[in-house]
Amino acid sequence: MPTLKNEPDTCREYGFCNCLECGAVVKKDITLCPRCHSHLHSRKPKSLQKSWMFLITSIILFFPANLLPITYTRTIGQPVQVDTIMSSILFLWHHGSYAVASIIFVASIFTPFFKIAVLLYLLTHPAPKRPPVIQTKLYRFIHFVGRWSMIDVFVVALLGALVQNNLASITPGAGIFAFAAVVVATMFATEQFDIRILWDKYRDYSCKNQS
Amino acid sequence: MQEPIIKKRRITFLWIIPIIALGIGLWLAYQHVRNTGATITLDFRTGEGIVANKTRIRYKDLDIGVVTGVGFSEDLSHVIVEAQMIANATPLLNEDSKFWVVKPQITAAGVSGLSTLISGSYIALDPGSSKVSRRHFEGLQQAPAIPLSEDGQLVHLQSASSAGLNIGSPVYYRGLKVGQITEINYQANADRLFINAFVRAPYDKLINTSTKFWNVSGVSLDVSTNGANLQMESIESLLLGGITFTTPTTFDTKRSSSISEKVFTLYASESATVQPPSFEKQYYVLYFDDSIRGLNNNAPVEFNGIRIGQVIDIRLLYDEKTQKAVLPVLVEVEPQRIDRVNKQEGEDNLFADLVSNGLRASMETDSLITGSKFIKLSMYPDDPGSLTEDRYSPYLVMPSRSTGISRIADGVGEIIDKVKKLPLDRIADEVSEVLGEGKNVLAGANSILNAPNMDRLGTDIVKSLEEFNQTMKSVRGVTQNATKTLHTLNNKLENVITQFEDTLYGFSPNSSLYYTLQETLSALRKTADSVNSVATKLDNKPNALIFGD
Ligand SMILES: [Zn+2]
Repeated sequence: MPTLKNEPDTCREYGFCNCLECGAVVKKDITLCPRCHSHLHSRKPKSLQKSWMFLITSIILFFPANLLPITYTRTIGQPVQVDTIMSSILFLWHHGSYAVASIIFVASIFTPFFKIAVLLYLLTHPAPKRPPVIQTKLYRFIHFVGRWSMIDVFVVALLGALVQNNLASITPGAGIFAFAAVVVATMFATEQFDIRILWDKYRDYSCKNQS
Repeated sequence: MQEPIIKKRRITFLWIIPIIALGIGLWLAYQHVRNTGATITLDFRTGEGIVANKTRIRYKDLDIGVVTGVGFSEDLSHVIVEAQMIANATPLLNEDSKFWVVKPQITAAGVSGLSTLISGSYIALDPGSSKVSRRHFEGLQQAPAIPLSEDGQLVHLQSASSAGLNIGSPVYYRGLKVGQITEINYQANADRLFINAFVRAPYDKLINTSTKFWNVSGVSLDVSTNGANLQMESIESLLLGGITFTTPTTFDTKRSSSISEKVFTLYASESATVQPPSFEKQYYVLYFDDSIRGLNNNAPVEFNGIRIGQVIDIRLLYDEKTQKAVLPVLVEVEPQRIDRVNKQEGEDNLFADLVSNGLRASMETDSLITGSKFIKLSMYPDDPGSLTEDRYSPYLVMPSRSTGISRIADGVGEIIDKVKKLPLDRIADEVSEVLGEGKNVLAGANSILNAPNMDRLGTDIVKSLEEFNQTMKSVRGVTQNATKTLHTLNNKLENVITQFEDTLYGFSPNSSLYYTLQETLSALRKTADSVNSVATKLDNKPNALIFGD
């Protein structure tokens, strides 16, 4: 474990600030980026609070997203078929589309759930006693997969647009809006979270222990 | 260089977002709870067409619930369907609500449930009028033919056959369709069909307890001496069958408009409605001493000329123990064909009463040409009897009496016996003498009758008889003997004639035997008459044998 006390190793400790918008490195005491005129923050402001906020929103919306119907399928002569995310996955699974069912399951149920779980973990453990390497990797991962969760929303939007005739029609249900909101909220939560805070906290902790 | 605006607020206003989300979530949850109605269970005999989470419960073609589970009852005897209703449907779940599975049906009465060919079956609901809420229901096997909410009256009918009738067959009144058959059940213990028919308001007011229903299914063709009569209610009734009714004015003393309890008889045709209903049947065994040749199955059983039953079985039994052949005749009688009035409490068996008051069965000849016979029941009030147990069957024996041909045979036999017993040899001589004189007497009478001075005849005869009486008193003693003999003969003949008359009573007049007997009888009567006239003459004029008149 390298000693961090004596040698500064972050931008901040060198007295510089990294513009979060354009990436310019400027003196720490300057509050506006000389290049892009955005406010300069060494770390994302109120990161934990905002991240918590979006996370709680996504947790709340996670229930209607999975319980409410995402599509209403009207086929001529048939009663309206109401599908939730899980019922459509089961439908596909029972009809032998194991691959498609697996993809939708991973993208629509597992990923949001995983993201929420990871964020919960990161937010409840903001002061690691070990170098937060795994946390950083997890954070990077959920930051990457976040956008793919929208696959379900796209599918419903496409089907809703394409299947609109006298024989059959598909209408999105409230569930898909809640689901989209979950995905957006988790993306915001991820975006608002600043993984550097964990490193800062770890640094403070290890310095305190060394002294 | 612009000064940064330092925000001092520690809590961001963006916390409004999760609060809004929470609000929306709670509202959705509340909506869901509010829209979720009762959970009901339905019992069906089969689970045909019912799929969990797919089969809907519909009312007025709108979904009001969905089947959430289908499973067996514990004893596997039927299927239990669980369904989740919407909140609005709660008032439809009443004590008398009816549920049935709608399937495509194509019958002559019409096509129904065709949409279920594509959509699959659904469960339909007809809410009753009851206000008592209920959550468990017995599913119907088929859709009720009449909506429960429709006004009208259910009529119960019983029939021996349902020829041409089906559920949905119309009920006509004067050719107008006023209802339909809703149910046909066979009941083994009563051995007849029970039919329920629904008659719509206001036509149900036309029905009272004396209303007659009959079957108008198909075409009826009557060919008789009056010509041919073809009847058909309508093309629809030809295809679907149907029943019609009329409320005639009859001798019915018990007419009432309360018909919900009454079971009407559905007659096979309009002409059959004049007969009283006959479903209750009683069986009796009859024994006849003489040959039952000519008595067949289905031979009528008549009571005072009205048919009340028929012969249904005839057997020849040989009893090894008594070494006797017996001929039990099983007859079926319908006591309902006898209208009972002033009925006494507690007296139940009409025939037991009748027999104890002298009812007897006898075998009579229906037609001498074909030799067919029938069973005649008549009252002989001076001969009370009783129903007895039959030795050879579980039925009761009705006492019988031999009449008709057998009685004629008996009577003839008796006559022959009596004639044989007559002291013919002894009296033959006397009779021939008497008859010889008798002829003279007759010839004399004839000559008198033929005489032109007829008006004086009466006084002449009286006068002359008086004269002769006067003069012949003295010779009475001589002729006393002959007179006695003639009187005896006359009495005997008189007896024979009475027996003959008894025998001929009730005997068909269009037979040769009857003719012959009649001839014999009149000959006998002539003989008796002449013997009588001779005797009278001898009484008045004892000397006539000696002097002539
Ligand atoms: Zn910048």
